[in-house]
Amino acid sequence: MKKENSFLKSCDPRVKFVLALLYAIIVAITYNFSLLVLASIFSLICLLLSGLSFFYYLKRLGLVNLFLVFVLITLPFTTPGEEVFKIKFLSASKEGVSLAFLIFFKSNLIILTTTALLSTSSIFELAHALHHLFLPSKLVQLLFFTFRYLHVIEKEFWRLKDAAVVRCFVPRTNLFTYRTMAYLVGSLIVRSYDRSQRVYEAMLCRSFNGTFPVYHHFHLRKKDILFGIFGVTYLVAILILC
Amino acid sequence: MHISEGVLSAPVLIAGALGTGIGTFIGLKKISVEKVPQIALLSAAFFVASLVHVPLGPSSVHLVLNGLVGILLGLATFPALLVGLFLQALIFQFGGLTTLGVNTFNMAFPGVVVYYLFGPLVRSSRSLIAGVGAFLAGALAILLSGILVAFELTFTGESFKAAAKLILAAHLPVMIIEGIVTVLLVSFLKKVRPEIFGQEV
Repeated sequence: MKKENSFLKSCDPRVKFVLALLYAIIVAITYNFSLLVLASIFSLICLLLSGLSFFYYLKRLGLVNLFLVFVLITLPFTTPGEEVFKIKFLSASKEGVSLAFLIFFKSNLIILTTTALLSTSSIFELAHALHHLFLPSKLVQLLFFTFRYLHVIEKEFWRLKDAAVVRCFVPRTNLFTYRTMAYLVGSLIVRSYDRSQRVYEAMLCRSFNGTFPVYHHFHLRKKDILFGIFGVTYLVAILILC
Repeated sequence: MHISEGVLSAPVLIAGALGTGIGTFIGLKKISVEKVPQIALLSAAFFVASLVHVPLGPSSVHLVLNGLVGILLGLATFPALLVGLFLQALIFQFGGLTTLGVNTFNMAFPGVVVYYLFGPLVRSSRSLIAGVGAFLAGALAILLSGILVAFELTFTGESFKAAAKLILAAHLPVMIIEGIVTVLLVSFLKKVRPEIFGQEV
């Protein structure tokens, strides 16, 4: 599904993270439509440079956020202004519809661009990049460990769930279901807790001293610096111009 | 519920980021190096638990368990949930970079509040007191989260008031379920691995 090599995949994660954060902040706080149009040019360039397929983005956007739905369906009716259409006694205002559209546009632009910039690096690379940027090392270690064991624990959960299903467990709205679910999650917590002790002991056996040695170092190349400078300049420029 | 990007106003986003920043700073100070794997693994377990859907009538709700996270982790709740929500934003696009501060605060602050309010009750050796404490911790953590989300929306603009009410209403059934599940979870953990309580920082 993904093409193996693209500009953004080989780009320095530190540069990408800074650009993604700057972009998200600028787009999130603006209510200016022309700024969003200019920002979408930046998004388009990122999408093209990412080498990720169209379907990949579609799948990402398809994960409809319930929160956004709540906001979008109420806004047209609660914003005062000129009426455009009416559903029974609820009247939708022009201002409300345009505000809802603006928020929808902003939200999707940020999702697309951060996906293009960040999904082209692995989470481990991003954690490493954050270590170089500004994050305290304990937080980076926490991020590293959580992600490292996420799939292990998820697998463990499905194993427990399968064991319940094999014994004819069918989830329903009753106390029995809630108890079974609670005990499943409880087992998961106990197993994770026990595993963390083993992991730490194993680390001590390998002379862990509180820091992670890094084997792969990032190197800022000319194209990373150029991409970073162009990106930051463009984003700051549209912020000042609009 | 995760607030999506592009909805809240700048002052709300900044306040959320500041609150989470302070909470995370204090939490990290308290975590010793040997605690890091333990907190990370519990954070991963709660991440997975949040993917669990429990049936509720014709629909289903997913577990949040921020009350239990608070009880088990204490002040480490902020860094643990920050990491979890950051991963959710990267992996599923739930929430996002600019709303990370607000979303973490909405989940972690109620967790820390119920830790101080009901932690002593939950750790009590009498099962009735522990049960009542666990229910209140689970339910109140969700209620507080809902109130925070509603407040942030209302602060962003008057026209978000209806959405805020809807979202707060959606939290109410979840509150009851979380209360019940937290009681059952606490009684399970007390039977199986009682030493897991009192590990918080």
